[in-house]
Amino acid sequence: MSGYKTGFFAVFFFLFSFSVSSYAGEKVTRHVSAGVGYALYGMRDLGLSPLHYDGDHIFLTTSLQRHTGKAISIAEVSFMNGRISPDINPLLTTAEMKSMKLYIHYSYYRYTGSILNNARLYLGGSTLLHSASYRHNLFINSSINLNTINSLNLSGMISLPFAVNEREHLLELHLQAPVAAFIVRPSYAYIKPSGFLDHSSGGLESIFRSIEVATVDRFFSLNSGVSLKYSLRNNSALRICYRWEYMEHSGDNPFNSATHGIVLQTIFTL
Amino acid sequence: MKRHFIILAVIIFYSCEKFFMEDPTENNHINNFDLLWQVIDEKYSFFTYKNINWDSIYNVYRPKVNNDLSVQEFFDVMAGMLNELRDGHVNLYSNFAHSANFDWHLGHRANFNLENIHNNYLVSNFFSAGPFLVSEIDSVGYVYIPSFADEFRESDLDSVVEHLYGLKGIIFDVRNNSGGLNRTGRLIAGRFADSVRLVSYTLYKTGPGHDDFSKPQPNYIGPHGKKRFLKPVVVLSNRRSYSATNDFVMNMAAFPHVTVIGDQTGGGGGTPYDYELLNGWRCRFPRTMTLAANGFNIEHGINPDIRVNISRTDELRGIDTIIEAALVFLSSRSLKTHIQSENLQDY
Repeated sequence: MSGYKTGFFAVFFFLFSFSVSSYAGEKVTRHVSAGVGYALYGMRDLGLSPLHYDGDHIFLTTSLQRHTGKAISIAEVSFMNGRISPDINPLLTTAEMKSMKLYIHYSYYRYTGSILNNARLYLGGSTLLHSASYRHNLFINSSINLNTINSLNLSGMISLPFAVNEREHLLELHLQAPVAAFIVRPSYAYIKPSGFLDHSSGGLESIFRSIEVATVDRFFSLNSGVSLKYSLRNNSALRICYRWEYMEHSGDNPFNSATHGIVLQTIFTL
Repeated sequence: MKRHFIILAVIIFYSCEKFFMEDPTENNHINNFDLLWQVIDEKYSFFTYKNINWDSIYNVYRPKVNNDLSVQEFFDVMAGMLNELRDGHVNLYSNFAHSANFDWHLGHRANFNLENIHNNYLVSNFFSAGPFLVSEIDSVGYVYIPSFADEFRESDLDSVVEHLYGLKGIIFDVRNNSGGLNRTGRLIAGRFADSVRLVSYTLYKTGPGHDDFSKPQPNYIGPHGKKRFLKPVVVLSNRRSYSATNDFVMNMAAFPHVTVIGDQTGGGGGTPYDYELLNGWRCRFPRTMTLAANGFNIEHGINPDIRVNISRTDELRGIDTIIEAALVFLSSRSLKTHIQSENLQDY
């Protein structure tokens, strides 16, 4: 697996390294968007179980975007809620986890040049705060598990404008991968119902003990998406986006997860 | 050109996570046995304290496992291996059965008769608030708590303290209370706290070695609630006072106006955590260790300040010898340090 990672980063840094002089347009536009979607989420946390859990989630997202001719910055908050269960015969267990995830994502892309004739290439960086909670229906003292991962990423985006019936639409493709991450993943945290008593600091100790700053040898993720933006006549737009996210943390309690999501957004120009 | 773009998109976006994920371990009896043995080996708290050789237990049970065993036979082997830990907090749960160990109270005197308590101590004029059954006996409050498993409203506890506030003492009976949530017992203890006191230390399992624990984390209990009862209090315990009840007895014993009377508690000082196996079964085992404020490991129980057993003759006459001893103690209003436990032994 480390070979795949090395290969991926080699390609990514190669793409990142060739710079093209910036595009000179200076027009600034701002957009706000709101969206709803469906996601299929799967995870395996060996701190809790060797079983792979997956299930359906609802996805809510809102974002603020700023476009200039040279750069695009995007601030986005997303929330995902659903239930996951083990991928074994349901007659063998009634295990189920409630899963909630919060994403706070800021990306900055700089225009780098044109590729493939009229596609525009942007490269940049992003920070992604990803916080998740799981509540197991059968576990008692380790039923609630919280983790937070804040990663610094390299990001790339290709956007391909095209026209249909004299109206401009946009096909976008983005990809990001981390260079470092701040991780808080206690192996077990809270009893059910939540919380230790005031003077009992066990849960907090478990959280502090788990804090870690990791680089790609211990934390790896890929976050990507492809979206189609359909312009409306009133200067707004609809966007349908397919997102895929993979995350992996090795260590005492290895963890990996993957999300496939489809989001429908309305974009308003401010 | 657009075709290249679409090919790139397909490569990047539809590259499934299976590309990165390792193949899961195959779900069969042997792998499940090895997983259970390894999880317990790395995470269970009391190997050193109980002087258990887990490697030799593997050598005894591993040859009994093969992938042709029936599910029931396999369960029995797994449960048998866990039973070697002699721990009431260790269980194996499947979709058809679960295993448990009761060594902590089997073979010991019961020291409890609920019918006698209802007939002669709670009688018909008791009141209940949440899980508390409360009555008054000779100007002494009697409170029976059958379980710490359920949450209760703080107002229930406040009403109990309010109801008994003017009395000369309180008997808290936690015999046959096999535990539940530590939090419940600690909430109660806060109503009897004269000041913030160190009551215990928790050690968390932090690594795979049998002695890989965190530093002892201190636990304190301080005054809590609208009113607090600081007159003499007696806590009654027996061998079935286990787990969260064991914790409650330890916490209450930290206060100078509290005396523990009855039999040794059953123990259960480690907080149990859950883990799943590849076949969906679930195991439960302690991943912490609790020491009293004086450093005493409470896993095998806490000795009372005054040891009293229920005599057969008293029990047949409907008398609870342990409650009677508590009433005598509270009536004398003596401090526990002035009582010679020998005087009350061997009822």
